[in-house]
Amino acid sequence: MREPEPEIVDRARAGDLLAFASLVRDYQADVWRFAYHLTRNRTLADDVTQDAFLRAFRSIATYRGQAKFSSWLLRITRNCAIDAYRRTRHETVVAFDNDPGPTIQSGTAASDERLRIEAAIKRLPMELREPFVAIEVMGFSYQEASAVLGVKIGTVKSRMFRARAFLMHELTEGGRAREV
Amino acid sequence: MKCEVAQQALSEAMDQALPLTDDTQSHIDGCYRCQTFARGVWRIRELTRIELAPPVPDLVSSIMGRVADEAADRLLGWAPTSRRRVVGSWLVRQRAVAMALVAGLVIGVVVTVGGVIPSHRVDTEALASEIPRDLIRAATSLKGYQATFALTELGWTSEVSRRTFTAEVAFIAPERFRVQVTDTTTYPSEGWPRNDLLLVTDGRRWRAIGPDPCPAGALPSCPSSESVEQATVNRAPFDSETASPTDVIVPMTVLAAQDRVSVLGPDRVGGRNSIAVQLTYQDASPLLDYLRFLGSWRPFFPQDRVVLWLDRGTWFPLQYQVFPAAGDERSLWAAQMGLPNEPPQAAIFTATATSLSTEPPTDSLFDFKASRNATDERFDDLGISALSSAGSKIVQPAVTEGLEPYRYGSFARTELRPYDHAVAAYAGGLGWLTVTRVAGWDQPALFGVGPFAEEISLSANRGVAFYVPATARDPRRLAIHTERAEYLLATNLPRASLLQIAASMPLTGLRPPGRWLVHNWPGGVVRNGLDPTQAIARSKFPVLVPTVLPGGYSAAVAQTLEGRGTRGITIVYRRPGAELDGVGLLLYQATGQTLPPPTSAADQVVTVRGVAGRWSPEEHLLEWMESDVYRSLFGPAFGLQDLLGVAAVLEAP
Repeated sequence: MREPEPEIVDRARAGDLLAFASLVRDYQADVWRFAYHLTRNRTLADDVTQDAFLRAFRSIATYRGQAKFSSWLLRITRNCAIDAYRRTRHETVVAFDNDPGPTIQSGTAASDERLRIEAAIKRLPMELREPFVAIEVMGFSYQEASAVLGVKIGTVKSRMFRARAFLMHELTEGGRAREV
Repeated sequence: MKCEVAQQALSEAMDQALPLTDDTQSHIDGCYRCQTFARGVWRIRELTRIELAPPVPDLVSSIMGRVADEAADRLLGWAPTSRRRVVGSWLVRQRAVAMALVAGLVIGVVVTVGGVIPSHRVDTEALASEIPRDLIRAATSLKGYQATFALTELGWTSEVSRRTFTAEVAFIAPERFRVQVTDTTTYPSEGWPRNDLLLVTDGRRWRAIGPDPCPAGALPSCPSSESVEQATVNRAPFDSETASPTDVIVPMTVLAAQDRVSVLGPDRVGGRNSIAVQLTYQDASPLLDYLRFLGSWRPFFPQDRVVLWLDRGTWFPLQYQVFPAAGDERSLWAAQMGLPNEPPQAAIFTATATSLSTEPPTDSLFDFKASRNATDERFDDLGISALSSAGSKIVQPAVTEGLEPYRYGSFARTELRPYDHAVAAYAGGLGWLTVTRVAGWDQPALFGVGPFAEEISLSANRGVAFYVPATARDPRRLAIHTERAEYLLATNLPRASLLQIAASMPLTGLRPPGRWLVHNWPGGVVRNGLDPTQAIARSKFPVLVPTVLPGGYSAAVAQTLEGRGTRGITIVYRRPGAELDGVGLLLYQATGQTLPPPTSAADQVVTVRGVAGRWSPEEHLLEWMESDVYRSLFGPAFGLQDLLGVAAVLEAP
């Protein structure tokens, strides 16, 4: 992900709304995609995106450039998604993972395969889904994923491997078990 | 070695783009279970990275609305404490004032940020010298226009497979435009959103009203079925962000793509002599821009066929129809979009003019009250007389190809526009030209044309200028770097007219300073203006080049990128003196880079050189991974088949 001009961030930190609006425009798509892939629900992704930018606005004065701006912002997004996840565990109004996602119609080998992978990703526990989304979907490095998720690089590596092992199990043994 | 250790090593190697150690590789080679794991995880990566991206909603306004709310609270010191109750009613009144101040500031920037450098998405017409002289004459002499179209759209959803509309269009040259779309469909229930739309501009103000687009999967319960309003005041002449979709009147943009238009022959429509032409939806899309500024519409495939019947006397569209393209790719796209199988011979959209007139409509049609939340572009009209006054520094062309001075003014200086920015506009009918002068320019790049513009020698010893052809969305542009200021000329007139106008300006165009060609930034260095052959020879990874190029194209210039762990090269191919190719054809190749995540629901998975790649029709971008090298082809004038053809003939030089 690209980084904003330091001057824009400095001006946003100083309370310049024009500069903050510029950051919102530049990053809203990335934040929404990250939120969507974590929650797998469009409505929640909308809410998480708005909450994340509002939290960022509240705390940008304390941002000192210790992490990349994009990592800092996505870490806030991740925390908002976790909060939303916790809320939905108690309130059953909107559940995670109930969104049909982008329209993929079954019929070809590739689309069937994609549907199965999509379903397996939805079954990933949040702890494993986070690194999977960060690395496989968003294309982050271990270092970036570590900064966004707030865990050590070694933890990212091992969770990423566990996520892959989980998906492979779901697509082979797990999938077969469900078909029986 | 245990399988789990080998698989974890494989997982880490994948993520870091590292080779496997010999131990791991030999274990996997001899282990069926690990081979299955390796194939599976690579397949997951492939399908995940080229999966369909969900459409990203535009939340900027709602986010900044909440931020403005919070900022207003801060301004008033309104904290969630007991003090809030004591002074609550006073604060509510003051807060409204603060909110208006903050919201005005915020909404202004939300729309204008990103448009500081007018280098892309200029949604206006583009004429070409190949267009018949009659069309140019008809367009530039048009004073007024009124028409009503009857529209039929098929395949919107399975529940509402046929919708009907009327569209009333009015125009007074050069910038007053209005279209009102009335939805006449009978819906299954009241809950379905109606596509009633209005777009009106008098040049200085612009307003669009209608429902937000609603995802087909969410219908009929759209997140927001209420009408939304987008409005702009103090609008610059022929503004790119709030353009008037005048191709519905005379399809200057559409017919500018003359080399991609097939003439089907003469015909009669509504008792009038007409000529029928055919082109792809990709090229014809500006014809439908007068409808698709808001509301929900069915999607079309870029290669869908559009047949357009034009009046022989006036070049006004009398009728146009969209027919589905044939082939597997179209079928796959339709399945992805949730559309039924659509036979190529049956029209899926029809627009027919039921009345037409060149009688100028009444002025009152273009009157409207700008909403309080309108975006203020902060363009200050100084009046035509000021253009010739001593205070004006803008250099005027002596030749304007029959266009008359129309507006002159300047933008207010802001933190995001810390330079003097004046614009003079010339117009005649639907034809227009803007001359922009920027003084105090603070960027190491030409104003308004990007890094790949073609250097052109101006006649009459006027030095050099930098030209970018038009696209279906952007006008033709010419940048002139002078000792005192940057100039940018933009127009929908043909290239020859643009160059003649530029040469009539008493300026001497200079080459930009050499330091503008090298951009150092914390992540690396970008070098522009390189000789393609030398840049390829210096690249330290296997670069491919096309053995055959589209007619008239040749390698023109290259750009290289060196960053931490990344090396990339962009080779620009173009036709010298083109009218309509935009920046040309760009081949980008890079190591240390993987296929980025998809950005649009319209993205398609395609086979490129035997591997899965991605085609982004909205961006005209084809990309794929090959031998650990990321490669992409981009060309605003090219469709999928064109770019696949170029990709197929790439070879090592």
